[in-house]
Amino acid sequence: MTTQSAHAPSPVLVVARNQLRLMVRDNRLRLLAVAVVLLAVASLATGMARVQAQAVERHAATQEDKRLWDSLGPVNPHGAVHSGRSVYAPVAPLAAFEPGLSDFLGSSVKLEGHSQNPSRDRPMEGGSAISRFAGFSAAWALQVVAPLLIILAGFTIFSGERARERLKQELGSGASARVLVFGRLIGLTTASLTLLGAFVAAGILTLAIANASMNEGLRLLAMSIGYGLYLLVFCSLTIGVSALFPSARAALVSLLAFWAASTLLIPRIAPAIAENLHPTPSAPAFEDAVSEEAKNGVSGHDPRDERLLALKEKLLKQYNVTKVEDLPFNFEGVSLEFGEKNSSDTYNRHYDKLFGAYANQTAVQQAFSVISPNMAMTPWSRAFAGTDFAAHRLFLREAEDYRYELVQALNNDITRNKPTDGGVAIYRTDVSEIADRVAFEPRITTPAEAWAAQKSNLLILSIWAAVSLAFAAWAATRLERTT
Amino acid sequence: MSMLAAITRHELRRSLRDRALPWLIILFAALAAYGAWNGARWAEERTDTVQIVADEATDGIAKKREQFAELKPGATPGFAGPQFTPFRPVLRPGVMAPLSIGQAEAYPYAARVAPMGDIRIFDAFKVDVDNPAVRAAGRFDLAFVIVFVLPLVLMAATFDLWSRERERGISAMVVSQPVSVTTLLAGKALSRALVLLTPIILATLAVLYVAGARDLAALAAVALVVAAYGAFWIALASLINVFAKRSTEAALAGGAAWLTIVVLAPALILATVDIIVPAPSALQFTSAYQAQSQDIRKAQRLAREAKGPEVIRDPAPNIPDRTRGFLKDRAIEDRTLAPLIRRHEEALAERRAVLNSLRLFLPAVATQDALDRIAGSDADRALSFQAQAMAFMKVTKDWMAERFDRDALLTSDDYDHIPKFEFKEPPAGAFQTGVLIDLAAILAAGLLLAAGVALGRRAATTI
Repeated sequence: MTTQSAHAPSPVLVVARNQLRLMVRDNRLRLLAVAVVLLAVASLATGMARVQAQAVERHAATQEDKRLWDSLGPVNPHGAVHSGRSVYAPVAPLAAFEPGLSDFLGSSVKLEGHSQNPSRDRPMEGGSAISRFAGFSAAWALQVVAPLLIILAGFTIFSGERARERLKQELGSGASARVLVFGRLIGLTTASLTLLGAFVAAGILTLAIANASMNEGLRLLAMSIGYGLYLLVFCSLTIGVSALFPSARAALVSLLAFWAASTLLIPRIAPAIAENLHPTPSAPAFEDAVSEEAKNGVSGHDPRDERLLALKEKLLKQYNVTKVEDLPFNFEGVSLEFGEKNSSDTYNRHYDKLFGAYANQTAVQQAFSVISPNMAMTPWSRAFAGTDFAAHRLFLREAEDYRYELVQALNNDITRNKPTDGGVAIYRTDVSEIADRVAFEPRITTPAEAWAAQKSNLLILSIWAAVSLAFAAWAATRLERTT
Repeated sequence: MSMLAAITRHELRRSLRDRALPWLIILFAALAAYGAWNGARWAEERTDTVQIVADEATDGIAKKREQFAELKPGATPGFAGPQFTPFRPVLRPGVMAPLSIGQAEAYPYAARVAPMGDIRIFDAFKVDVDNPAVRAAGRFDLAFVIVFVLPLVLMAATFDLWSRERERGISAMVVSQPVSVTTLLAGKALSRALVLLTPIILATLAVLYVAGARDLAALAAVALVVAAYGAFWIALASLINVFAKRSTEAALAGGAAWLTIVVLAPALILATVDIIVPAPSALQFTSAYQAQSQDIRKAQRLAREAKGPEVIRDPAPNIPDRTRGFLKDRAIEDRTLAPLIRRHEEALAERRAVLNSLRLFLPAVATQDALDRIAGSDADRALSFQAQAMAFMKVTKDWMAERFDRDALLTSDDYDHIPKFEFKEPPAGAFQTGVLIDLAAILAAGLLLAAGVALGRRAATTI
């Protein structure tokens, strides 16, 4: 007898198994879950095809850009600076799973002298009314549709007349409400994690097809941990609400209201509020502010021309000459290098301020995660997929470093090549040789960088999971008393 | 008919006693007010941005006038060459802009036209510096509230239109009366439509009016669109109630219908179109354009250099021959690049035509499209601006060529008579063809559902 009870499964597990069996037998749920998985797999497959096409396209564009640059032939280096070059953002393989901000970020940057252009060629350009409905992806299915499935699968577990009658019998036969609540929570969570597992398996398959690195697997694992916690929140809340409300209708309405608010409304309202609190300038206003500061200095009373004049005087004095023509180098190049540094410093200050406003907006949005777990889940998912703004900013920073280095190398070439004929002929050189000395090798953010930026969101998700589990436990004690 | 009126009156009295309805209407009105405020704020910011761009031309001309004032007697005003005249065609937000931001952020709103310019006149206004995370979340404007939230409010208020009676066992008694189920359901639906849609439409119009969108014809068009879309959802709730025997089932079906019609179907159809008719690659086009343009310019530069040093006529013309040469070169470049541009634009137009036709089968998209068109934030208005700006650039080129022929630099007074851009709005305003097509599509979908109710009436009587 003792041996038998030692091997008997725990009552919680028995309840969990029964709950799972019930859900598997529910044709509507099975159908819905299969439909969602199929849709997500289809979206993953098309997403992968799109990501691969983008990678091929950007590689080809990079090659073409190099060909065009190399075919400029002997030209004036500063003329080449104005012709400019283009660089293309790297494609994150997990963008197929979580496109994140991809459609709203420019895929290339035109690099030229005197200005730091924003990225361009955003896929969202040139749409139609239907474009406002875009955005279905495997990640979106997990963030929005999976919680809805959990609610539909679980809202009648304890609420409703039938469930209450069955509950009375179960409690009468000696089961405790706590065992029933946690058993069913384990059942519902297992089903949800199975759904997540199907998504992750599809993700691994697509990564394998794309020959992705181990790093991508690590990213997917981190994303899965976040999604696991996120789905656990909805499972616990569904079980808790179902145990708390005697009427299935009231339970359903409450859960659907929470779902609609947390996955659809708050993710739209929070950014709008954040933007109102921390506004960003329009592109022309930004451009005007940069031009004004580059011309008149940070204080507005330090004109560029006077600063250049001071530099000229200093050099004349240093080399003990009276005319720039007598300097041992080409002052035109020095002037161009000075101008480039001045405009770059100005742009850097303004971009830092702009991205500071973005960071403030992100903080406001994160504050909304107190009422919506989706506000913590989405940035976590995007960061590990490499499709958030941090990944794009890294590309912009690398592009700017490259631009500055290339432009100054070209300007410096003018400095080092003083005209020997009194400056009549335009100085020309093979700029491809100069450009070859400067390399642009963009990368996407590493999992470690994503972790450093996103650990607070994982903490928020963990707190949500703990609080919702506590809520389910509290609902269990209420259930025992009210049934 | 009198039976229908009697049922509607009876149901109206019942609906007015429903304590949940005022709260649902208040919720909608609050969200609508926030959406309209957001829209108005966006329109205000866009107006300011457009003004900054327009001022570039005004400031540029003012600077030239200052240069004229400082010009020494007898000196040639080289800065007054017609090719240096700045033009800034701009697309200002329409008076109904607080209604919907629509596609206004997906297209350029201004152009930097120089008489020697090319299709890149829009490039500066294709980029933006606002937070992409805010854009990706989607704008919370009044159109969003109407398209996404209104159906949820209507479903919450009508999901148990008939199922509640069935659930409580009252339906058997009701259908035993000498009244057809179709009339009964029609009366119920009509009463809910009146009780819900009347205050919802009034709230929508009121928030728009307060937000500054005060075009009467456009407000009437908005009322019609909201009424048609609302009627579609009430017809859908009626159809669900024909088959659902329990309120929970009806609620589930309503939620699933909302998810399918408003979220999944448009997104999945769009994803399918992306595979079947993908957007032509902007990167490939830009690369090809740059390559051809660079080849042409290089050939032209080499040809110029082969001719040797420029011979300056005596007396020297006001507009240097070198500049005239550039004009000719640019005309050749424009002609050579035209087929490439045309092919790209045709591919874009083909995709847009497919996307536009899909709205006929998707009531949520048709509603969004109608609201965008009424607000003036639709793709067609933006494209019309681009076409008009390009046509205007041609006007400036002709104007410049004529002045080149006369070797006529501009005088200070001439700047009052330079070509001026004025955007021509689509004819028929808020009741333009596109809006009428959208309304027809929404009404047709609603009628289809009503026909479904009539055909399935037997199912409504089963217990």
